[in-house]
Amino acid sequence: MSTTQEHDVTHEGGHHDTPEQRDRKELSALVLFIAGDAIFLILEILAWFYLRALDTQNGWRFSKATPANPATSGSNNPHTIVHEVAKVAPGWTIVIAALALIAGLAAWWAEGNARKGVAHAPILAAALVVALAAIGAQVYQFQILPFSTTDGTYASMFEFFMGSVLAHLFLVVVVLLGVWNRARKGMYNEVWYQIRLARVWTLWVAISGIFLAVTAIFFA
Amino acid sequence: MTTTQERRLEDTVLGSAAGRFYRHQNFGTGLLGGVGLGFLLWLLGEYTVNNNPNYGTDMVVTLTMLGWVIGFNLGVGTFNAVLHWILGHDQTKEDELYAAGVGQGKSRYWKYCTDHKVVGTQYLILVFVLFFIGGTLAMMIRTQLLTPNSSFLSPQTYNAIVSIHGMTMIIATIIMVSGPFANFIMPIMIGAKDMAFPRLNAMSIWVIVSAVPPLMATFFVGGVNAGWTTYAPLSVQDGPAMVCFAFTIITFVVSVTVAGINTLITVLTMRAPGMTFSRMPVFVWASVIGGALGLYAMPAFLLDMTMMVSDHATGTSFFVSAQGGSGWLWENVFWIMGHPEVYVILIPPVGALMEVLSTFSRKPMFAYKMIIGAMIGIAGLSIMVWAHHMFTTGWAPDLAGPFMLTTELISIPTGIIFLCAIGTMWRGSNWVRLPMYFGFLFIWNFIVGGVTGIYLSDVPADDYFHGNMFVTAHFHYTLLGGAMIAATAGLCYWFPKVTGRMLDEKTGRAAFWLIAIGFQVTYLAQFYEGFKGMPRRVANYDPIFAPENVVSSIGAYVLMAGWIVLLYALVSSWRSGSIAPANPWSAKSLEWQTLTPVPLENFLEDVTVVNDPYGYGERAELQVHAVFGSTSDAHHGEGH
Repeated sequence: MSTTQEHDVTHEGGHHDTPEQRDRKELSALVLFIAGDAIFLILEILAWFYLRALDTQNGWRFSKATPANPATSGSNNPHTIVHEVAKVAPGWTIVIAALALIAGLAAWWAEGNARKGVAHAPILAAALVVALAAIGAQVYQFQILPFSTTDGTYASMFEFFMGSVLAHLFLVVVVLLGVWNRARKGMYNEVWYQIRLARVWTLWVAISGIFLAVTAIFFA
Repeated sequence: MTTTQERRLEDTVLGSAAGRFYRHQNFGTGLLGGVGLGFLLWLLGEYTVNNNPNYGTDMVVTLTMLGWVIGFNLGVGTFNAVLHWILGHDQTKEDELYAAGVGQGKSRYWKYCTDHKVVGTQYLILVFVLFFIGGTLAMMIRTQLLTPNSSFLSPQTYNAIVSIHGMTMIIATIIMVSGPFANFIMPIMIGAKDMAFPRLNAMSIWVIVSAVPPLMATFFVGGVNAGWTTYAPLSVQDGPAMVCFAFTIITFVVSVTVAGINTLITVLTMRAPGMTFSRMPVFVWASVIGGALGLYAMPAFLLDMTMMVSDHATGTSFFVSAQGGSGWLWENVFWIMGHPEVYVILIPPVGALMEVLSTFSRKPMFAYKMIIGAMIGIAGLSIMVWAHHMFTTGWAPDLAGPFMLTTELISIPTGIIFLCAIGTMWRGSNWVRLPMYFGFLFIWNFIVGGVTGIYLSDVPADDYFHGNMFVTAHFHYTLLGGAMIAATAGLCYWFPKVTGRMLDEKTGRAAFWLIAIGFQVTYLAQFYEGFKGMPRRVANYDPIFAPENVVSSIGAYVLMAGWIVLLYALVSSWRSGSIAPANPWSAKSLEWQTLTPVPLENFLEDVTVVNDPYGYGERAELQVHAVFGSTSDAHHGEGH
């Protein structure tokens, strides 16, 4: 089997890149990741409009409540109860999108301060708190929904959107937690490109959240 | 041989106290972590959600699979770098060298190792394992079909085996070139010291390793009965096996996405001076195009599978018609992924094959720019053809014409690549070694696979062929006879560089003939079954199809024997073959200009590229692909 280190004694692992090179690489990678995520977002929204347009067996917003799900039990209860599923009030959806946007703008502000060499860790802490608040709001919205997952495709899609937002916000929190902690330790006093990456990602999550919110609010 | 300088480096790296805890992590701790966390979440599920009469079991399986995947990756070290980063602990130089495998011998192949060559080798072994599993399942399928009313397998077991054979092979073929060779060879080809993101690179392999057990677990929880395409609503009605299946895909998507991003950024940012886009080897282009296409296709796969898990585990109804869902949603999203994915599989092996043809024909690549343009054209068109898989479903009949047109259009760039392959060999000084044998076989198989694809793109013909064995034969001709044979040509070509040993050519040729003959017998018989109207995905069939099935099964056994002989040749040569020189083929691309075994960061001197790598038979100044440092020594001169 090939032993790759036999001849090498002069090189130094991954310590070749300058901060500028790392910035270029990591920003390019993030842009590609966001491009893939954008495709996911577009398909999510297309699925919403597709199921809404099909409205198979009036199932978009009319739930046929049965004791057991025909998909898994194979039963077809003759005593099906049909009821209209209530639309979700837009309030919390707007709040969550707004909080994500505020977190992104705060990260932008922090990046500006880091560029100028002034305090940026407290602003990143604020962005982190706002992102956590967005997660809290999303979890709360789950609890107050006027329907359950089994109430037709509108309910299914709405909850899928919420799950998608929650997963993205979780990644925002991980990223902001990291940059805040590192900023707190003074690691971005000279090289701050990671704050820019955090800003780009957080703003993208806010923008994708706004697209989902607009779809859910105006096209129910 | 260990030099004093190397020993000093190893002492520094292995003796460093930094990161000592993390240095005990390997495949074994990954298994422990996966089983441990999987068990904990299974227990949690049993005591919290299992009382739900409709979704309880699926919820518990979802939690268990989640626990397995996260636990395995925690155990093997996938998340170490992220955790270090969050805590503000940057890795030391010693840690990075340790992560790159310095001083660890063969044990580094069982670890989260950041050296792209180790990752490439890990991918290669994983691909062998997957092909062995998929091939064994294929033999079970052919044994069942040997006689019309065989009871070798129950119909349900047969369906489960067909499904997992299909998905195992799809996963294996997607990574068979982009895993081993885009990792091991491609960075060297562009003169890079490593991939752009070595830790993401290691992540891509270990995440995919964690995806395999859930796929095999499907057999123990009822089996997936819906085929590899897992069409809804059949797949929604499947048991918890479908959750395991979906988890495999979701995990796989993560791996392919990070691998694709890594490939693209590596090529965009880490090329050696002088390695312009027009000097890049065709294989590098193919890796980039395959990676980009994967980035487009994988989100659709993720969406479909996430929705499927949701239908199973939470009671949503994306694909349940009785509650407003639609099987067409599944099919559309699946094939929005599925047809580009065919080219994610096909383009990188074709790129590898073109390297083989140019090297062994001793001729410059014929119409280099046309090949690149054709690959880009295929990638572009492939995102506009998905509904040809749905002609017979009744979805949007008005769109059948346009989709037929786009599908037939894709044969144009495909034909261009085919002609360029012929043109590269035409009147060359053909040196017929084992890689070229597989190159010739690819040419024949690809003609048959391509031409029969045109039948299927035609709506009226597809009405007849779609549900029968013609389709099975067609896609095996393209994916196995085309892509996998091209990948095998690449494997035989790069084997000396990857292993440091020469492949046993005599045994390899015996394997080639078994594979070539077995393959034709197996799938030409299946075309004939298709013409006669034998449906696919059936465990038992009408006796009128018996003769063709006997022929096909015998062919399949010969084919499998060929792969086993080839595997024997590979393993025995790897263990004890003759030592390979740095450039046994006198090829010109950069991977052949460096030492074998390849040094940790690939080159001992700086590389400057001055020409394309295909200057065979051209005037002297065009034959030099690259120059090395200021004191280019003998081993760098080979092939110039």
